[in-house]
Amino acid sequence: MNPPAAPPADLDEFRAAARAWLAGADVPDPPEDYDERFAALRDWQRTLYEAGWIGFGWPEEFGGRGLTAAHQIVFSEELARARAPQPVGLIGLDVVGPTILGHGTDEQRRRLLPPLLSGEELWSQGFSEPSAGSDLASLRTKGVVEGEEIVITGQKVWTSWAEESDWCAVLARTDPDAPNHKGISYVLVPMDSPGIEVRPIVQMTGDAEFNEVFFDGVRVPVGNLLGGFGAGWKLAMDTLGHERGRYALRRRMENETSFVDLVAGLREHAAATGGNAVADRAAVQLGELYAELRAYECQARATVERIVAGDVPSPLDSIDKLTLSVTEQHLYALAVELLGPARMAADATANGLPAGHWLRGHLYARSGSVYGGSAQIQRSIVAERMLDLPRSR
Amino acid sequence: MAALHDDLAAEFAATAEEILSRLDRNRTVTGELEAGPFSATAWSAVAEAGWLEALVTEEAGGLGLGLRELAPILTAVGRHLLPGPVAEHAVAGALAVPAAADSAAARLRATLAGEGMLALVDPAAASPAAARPRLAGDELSGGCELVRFAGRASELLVAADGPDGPAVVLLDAGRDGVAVAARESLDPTTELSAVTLDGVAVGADDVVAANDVAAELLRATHAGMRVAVACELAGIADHALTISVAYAKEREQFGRPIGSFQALQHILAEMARESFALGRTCREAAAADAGAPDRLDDAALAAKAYAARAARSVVESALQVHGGIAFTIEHELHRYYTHLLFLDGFWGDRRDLHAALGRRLLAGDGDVWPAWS
Repeated sequence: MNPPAAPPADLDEFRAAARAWLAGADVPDPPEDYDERFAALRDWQRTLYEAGWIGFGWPEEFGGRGLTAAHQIVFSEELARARAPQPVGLIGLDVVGPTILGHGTDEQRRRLLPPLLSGEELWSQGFSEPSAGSDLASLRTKGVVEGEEIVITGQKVWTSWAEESDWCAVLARTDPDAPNHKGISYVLVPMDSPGIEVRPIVQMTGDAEFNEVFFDGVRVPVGNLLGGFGAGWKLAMDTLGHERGRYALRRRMENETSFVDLVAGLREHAAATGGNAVADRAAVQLGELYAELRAYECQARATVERIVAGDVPSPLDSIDKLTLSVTEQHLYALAVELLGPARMAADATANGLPAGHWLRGHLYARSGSVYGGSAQIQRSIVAERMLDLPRSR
Repeated sequence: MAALHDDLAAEFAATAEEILSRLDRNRTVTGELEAGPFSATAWSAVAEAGWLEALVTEEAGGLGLGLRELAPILTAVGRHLLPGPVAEHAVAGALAVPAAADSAAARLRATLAGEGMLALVDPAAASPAAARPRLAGDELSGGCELVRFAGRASELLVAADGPDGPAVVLLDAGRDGVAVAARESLDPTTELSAVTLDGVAVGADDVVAANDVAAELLRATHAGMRVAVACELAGIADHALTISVAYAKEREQFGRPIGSFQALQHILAEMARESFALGRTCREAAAADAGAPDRLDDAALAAKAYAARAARSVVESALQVHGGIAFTIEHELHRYYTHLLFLDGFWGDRRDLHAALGRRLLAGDGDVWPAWS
């Protein structure tokens, strides 16, 4: 396959080109069924890759487009605006990929990045453990060096997409004698290695996006180490910081379009019924939510400026994560409130709002203040690193 | 000229903090403020700095700057709790100058230069539903509540309704039929009055704008006042955060600074988040496209609504972080809190703004999420 023509570098032209392409693209409407949805999103990533709409900020020699983070942000915004789903391999694209790009050897980059971009190889991230959640540095999964191999034994949990992934970026303790943060290494593990067992965890939304992953003497070559022995904690923190800013921007844009859809539903209902039973009650709440979401849009402008300027990670990532989870929860809570008693009836529509869609969104939004570092962890980061308050421990 | 404007704007932003900090330490100013919510010395300094004339167009002899350049000054005004009708002059007065006939323009410009003072008599400051004074023939009658510093004003800029549409009228405060009744203000940083106009004679030169021109001027004025008040609230929130963080580092209990306790750290972190979001919101709203009134209106309503909520949350948390000391009359925080309670209701009470935004969203078929700039 010949590489597709380079998208325009000028951001306005780039946005126009992205919008035009999306308008003509066969954008999938993700099925509610989890397996069907996954397959559709994997195809979608392949489509984006083949048309050249992925990996904007990555060098061309590793399958990217040699543009900038700003292009990535603009394309994410346009995807959301077109109601198009994000590509399936987000953990690879947003988290593991940048880590490999920043800290991998040339050999690792050449081997791993192109299939990561195309969606041919999907990635998961084995960080959290049953007794190492917010206190991630206390993780206990062992990585024992035997000759030219690292032997991994332990258990990971909340591992998103583990069942579908081809690779897992595992944090393992390779030096049990070093202090907590220093003894951790970042190991790239093929998921078809003998000794791996994955058990899906069904969430309250009905999806089984995350999993428990058991490693029982799993052998990988020492060459699968990223950034050397003991570099795992630094790499993990670095990329979590990168992830927060970009994730918050993308998710904010999705919430903006959800708000637009919410208002459209209420308007249609009012037009069809000659009035809206909830209009008076809803107007004040809707106006308040709108002001809050617009304030977050303004806050996000600062995030774009930071990412473009390379000012990441920053404690402001934590401010963004906090605002994202709060506004998202307010958005979906209002929708579920406006549904009234119909909210638990999957097929019902009330006041122009399809119940199943908004309820699932609401349930998912509750996880926003937990995943990727809970709201409490983010507040502690802000307190110590931005306000320079004395450490609480 | 563009480069000159950039220089002026940058200089304004940089010097606002410096000038206001100096005023905070000026003995005459502090003496005057102990006696009441106004300092003639500080007001002269503000007029002299040129801030009140910044928005006057170049064609009308002003600096031709926009809300974006004014925003850092208004934020500093909030941060330092500078009393006085800054926004009434810098926004309403300055926007009216180009529309006014020569003599009225000269009277307006005099107030912006610190000679005399202007009060804005527009019932929309208190309530979106309140009736405007009526202009019938050459007589103006009606009333208006919540006029800031009207007791000190030499000129009244009145939003009125004429026979064929709105009118903006400039009256000298001493004219027959003008009555200014002081209201007791629970906000020690504000003087409030009710203004009554009883058959006040209006000359042709007093009419700054009429009908479509007046409607456009009032629309820009309302949006500008809302953005201005939002900026002042952002300044208040920023100051409350700053002194709370400092206090949490210095005050000790149980043998360590209270800022080391997670319960307080999380309150302070949330204050930082809201204050940061508010600062950015004001910045974006102030940069909204003044040439597209729909966009500016939307930005101004949303920014003012968010400002009231965020600033209130931040300052109430500041009261909590400071503990008992903040409830004493000697501590500065109560002045910030009472002033924000006033500003919350000034140019759109928060719930009125929410309702206005919500009604627009539900009723219209227009753009749900208009770009602001």
